[in-house]
Parts: sequence; C-alpha cells; structure tokens
Amino acid sequence: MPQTLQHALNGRPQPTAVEIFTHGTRLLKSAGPSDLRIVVAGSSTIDMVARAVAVATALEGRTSEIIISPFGAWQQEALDPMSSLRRGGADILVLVNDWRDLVTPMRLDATLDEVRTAVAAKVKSFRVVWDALVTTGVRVIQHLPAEPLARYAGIAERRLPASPLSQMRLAIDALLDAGPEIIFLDMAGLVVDPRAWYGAKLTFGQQALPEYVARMRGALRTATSRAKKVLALDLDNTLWGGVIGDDGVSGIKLGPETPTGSAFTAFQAYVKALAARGIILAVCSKNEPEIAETGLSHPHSLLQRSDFAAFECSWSDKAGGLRRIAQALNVGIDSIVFADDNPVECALVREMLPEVAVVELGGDPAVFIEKLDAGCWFDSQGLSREDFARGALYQARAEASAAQASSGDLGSFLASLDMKGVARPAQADELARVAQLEGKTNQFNLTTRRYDQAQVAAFAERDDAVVLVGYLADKFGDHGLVSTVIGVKDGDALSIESWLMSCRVFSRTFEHYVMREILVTAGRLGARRVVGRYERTSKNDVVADLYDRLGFKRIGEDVWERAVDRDATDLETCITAR
Amino acid sequence: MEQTGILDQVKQVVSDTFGVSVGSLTAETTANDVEGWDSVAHLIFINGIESAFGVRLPMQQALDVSNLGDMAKLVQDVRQA
Repeated sequence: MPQTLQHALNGRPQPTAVEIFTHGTRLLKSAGPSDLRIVVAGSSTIDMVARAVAVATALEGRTSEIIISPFGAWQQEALDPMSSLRRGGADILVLVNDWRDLVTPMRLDATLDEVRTAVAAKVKSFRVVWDALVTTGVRVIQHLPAEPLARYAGIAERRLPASPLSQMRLAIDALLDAGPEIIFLDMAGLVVDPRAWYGAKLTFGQQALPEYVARMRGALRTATSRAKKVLALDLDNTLWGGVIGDDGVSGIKLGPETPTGSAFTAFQAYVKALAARGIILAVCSKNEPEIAETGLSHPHSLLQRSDFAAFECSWSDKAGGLRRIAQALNVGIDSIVFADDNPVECALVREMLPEVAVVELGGDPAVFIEKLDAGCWFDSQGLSREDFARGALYQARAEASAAQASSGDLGSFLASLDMKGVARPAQADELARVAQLEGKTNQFNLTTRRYDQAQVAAFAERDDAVVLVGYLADKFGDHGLVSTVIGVKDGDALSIESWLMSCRVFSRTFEHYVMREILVTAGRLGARRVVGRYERTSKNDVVADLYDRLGFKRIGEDVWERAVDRDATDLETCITAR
Repeated sequence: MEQTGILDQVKQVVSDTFGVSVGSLTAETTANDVEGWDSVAHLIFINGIESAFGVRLPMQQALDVSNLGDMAKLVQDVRQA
C-alpha cells in the first residue's frame, strides 16, 4: 500500500529508521498482486535490507514481492538452477556484499602484482554470479561496498598495496569495469555501526537506513527505466534571495558580497552542473515572465534564460505549471523533480501531482544543495554523449512549446490548508509595518501611492477614513501581516486609496476575505458603495482585473464600484476567522 | 529522571516501533510478548532508545535486557555513569 507510506511521510523527505522497519515489516507480510518480484541475497543478514527495499519500492509507487535468500547464500542463489531465484524468476536481484567479500587476507608486504591477482580473483567471483543471471533477464543491483574504516597506520595504508584500503580501491575500480550492465549501489559514506555487524551481521548501521532507502530508490529507477530527467525550479528565494517583482534585479541577493548571496550562487552552480550532466532545467514560478527573466540577467547569476528549456511563469497554480512543462518538453510528469522554498507550493504539488518528486528547500540557502542532493534523484550509472548534448537539444525544442491552461482541484487544496485570517482596523503599533509594505510592495498594489508612516498615521486618525490590516496563517505557519487597505469616505462611497497584498498569499481567496471586511467597514462608515481604482505600473499587471474578479462594476476607465448592501456570497473564501 | 519516567519513555519507543498500545506494556513485558520483536527488530529498538534518551548503550548489555524494566534500568545506569 504505497499511498499509506506516502501519507505517513506528509512531506518529510525520508522515512525514519523506525518507519522503514515498521512499514517494511508490513510490506513484506502483505500478499497481493505485485509489479516487481525482487530477490534479495547476500553475504550478510538481509532482513533489514529487504525491508528497506520494500519501502523504497513502495515510495517509487510500485508494489513488490520480496524474496529473502538464505543467509550467506548469494553465490548459490545465482548459480544453483534449483534456487528460488533461478526457478521462480525475478525482475530484480539485490546483491548485498561488504568489504569482507573483496579483501583477501595476505602478507602485508605483498607486491602490487600479487595484490592485483588477488583482487582479480575476487572480482571474477562476482562476474561468475552476474553471468549466471544474464540469461534470466534479471536486473542486478549490486552493493558497491564501502572501504573499511580502521586507520591502522594512516597514510601508510594508502601506500601499501596489500592494505585493506588499497585492495578495496583496486577492487571497486575493477568491479565497475567488469560490470557495465550492473546497477551499482554505492555504500560509501553510510554510517557504520559495529554493533549492527556483531549483533546481526548488518553491513551498515540502522541510522543509515533513510539514506540507504534514497539510494535504493535511485537504483530502482534505473532498473525500471524511470529516471528523473527534469529539474523544475522556483525563482524567488530559490535561485536568488528576495522577490524579483518587489526588490528588482539590483535588490535580490546573489553573488559573493554576502553569505546569503554566496549560498544562492553556489546553488546555481550546482544546478548548472546538473544541466551539464544532461538534466533538463525548467522554471516554475509565480511571476510576471518579463520581470522574472530580469533576475537571470543579474551580474552574478550563473544561470541564464537560455539554460532553461521551459519557462513557466504565471499566477496560476504550480501543478498546472508543471503539467505544461511536461507537455512542452514532451516528458512524463513523473520524470520531473520540483524544488521550491515555499512549503505551501510544495504541498500543493504533492497533493495534486503525487508522481512528481518534490524537494522542499526551506528557508536556508546554505543547505539547498544538501537537500536536493540527498534524494539521489539524478543518480545515474554512466553518462553518454547524448547526456552531454541534451541541454542544447531541449533549448531548441522549447521554442515550439505552447502553454495551455490547465486546472486541478484547487478548491479542495485551499480548503485543506486550514487558513485562518484576521482583517480589522490597524492599531497604532502596526502603522510602521503598513508604511513598510507601502514602500516595497510592487505587484499586488492597486495604486502604488507609497504612503509613508506619517501619511498612514494621518489616515488612521481621521473619522472618515480607515486603515485596515490583514493577517493570514495556515497549517504551515503564520504569514503575519500580509495585506493593507487604506479607504477614505468620499460622498456616499468608500474609496480604496491603496490596497496591497503579499504575493505569497495571492490566489488563496484571501483577497475575497479582505474585500468582505472592506464592505463591512464601508457600511459602518455610512457608505453605500465601495469605489476602487487600478493605476497601472510596470509591475502590477497581476491585479489589472482584480475588481472585475471581485464582482465590481466598471464605471469609468480604471474605476470600479460595488454596492455595499449587495449579497457578498460571491466572494467565496476558504479562510475562516481566527 | 525518575525510573518510572524512563520506563514510560521506553514504552513509547516500543509502541512506536511495534505498533502496540502503550497501555499493554509493563516493566515485565519481554520481546516474546510483542509480535515482530526479533533480533533485527531489537537493534532498531536499541537505536530508538538511544535517540530518545541521547545515550549510547553498551552492546552486550543492550542485547541482553530481558524486559522493559531492565532497559529502563540500563538507561538510568548509563546516564549516571
């Protein structure tokens, strides 16, 4: 039941060791039709590895039947025609070995040639096993053992051909050479817990299970030809610090001058290095396309517009954006990895497109590389000439892409966010924050008046005017003060002189919530209608038709009105009062 | 921490690991009483205890504990050492 596990994770990147144990135990027991028959065999205890394989398979959206070979029987399993593997067949064989299977006990003063001969004999014992399986059509996932940890004589071990360390180096290179069709799973760097070996003949510590599952998922994707091909990235606070629409190209944080800028530059370098390895890059951002592109022209931006084969900037939801990317690039939606700093966007994509791998980058750019890397999303067994040339190919193909509006079930997603709102007149201690938003909000800003704190305070003191503030929180956290409204009584109308909202919360029905409060306030001030204006700037296209969408009637060029006593049920909102 | 407090936390780890209710566990509960508690599971249990209490348990003693009360006592001993 793969869905159960996905939901238990609820956005966390990896299951914990305990979850791998409990879910793995359940999966091993569950009988039923399965996509994949997987045999796990090895030189050590594989009960835990088998559980991890079951969990990895489930997280890849496949069902599996896992067969555990008898302890230590990895060679017999492959060579004996009567073994469960040879008789029952399998799609995948996971071979669990460790350094003890590759290191030969020998005189420490043995020559390099003697060591090479010993290593060749070990590698041949692997090759014999693989050869026995070639005809059965099984894909082999072979643990590539980690080097032993003991230091003994330190650097001398590296100079000594017969040392376990040197033998392992030679053996790993020889294994990779000998098995071009084998899928290797790199065990290097996984935590080793000696008790796991002494107590249960486990080659790595249970603490390393989450990391092992990520690597196994990468190997399984290779074995089943379901590699990830596309990295779709958000822009603001993902590829640079700040919001390009509000801060402008000179205001975003990028480059070596600041620690934050350095971290974003390093992340861009990492992304560019993935592209050089054949990963197709795409942008999936809520932005005005022309403004978004200016961020990539920043002097310290390593990524250029031409590095992206698809550029999806719009104000519609990102699930739709990712669908359009898949369509434009002509790839399966399940070949996309989506990375975004914003937990709400990540949750929406997980909810609406469960087949997309979502990497929630969070708020600290210093760990973005680590977070993206940890998923092993782009693990590959070897790169080809096609991989090196892919970037250019997709750039050309992207010219022909045609975007098409698409919609998932946005309403139920918004309802699931459990949003709580507040909209009320501002208090004295909030006026500084109102003025701050007046100064820096560019996109959701109807009139761009830029009132300073003294002007805002003057409005707040008047009996015929009102300064409203809006707060929003959802199940992911508190967004704080994200909307402000300044209204002035003008005859029988309340005129909206200024209305701002943070783009983070736009399109979440908060605008409806705030408008309801504006209508109530207008009634309280004795107004019979609300009048709103839109004054175009280079950055506020996003609200050009806002009043139309809020049920206002156009009464002049860029002026709209709405009756106060009209039923407000058309202003549907998923937000409840806090 | 009182030993009863430690025992409660030990029970919680067992509950999380094996999906049994805390209420069904006592100081006298042994591995044989809990379904799925084999030698591999015991290592998971030891790791769960170590991360819950932030301690490192000596191998043989951790493998030898016969019931939850023994584990609580071992945790307390390691903390006081």
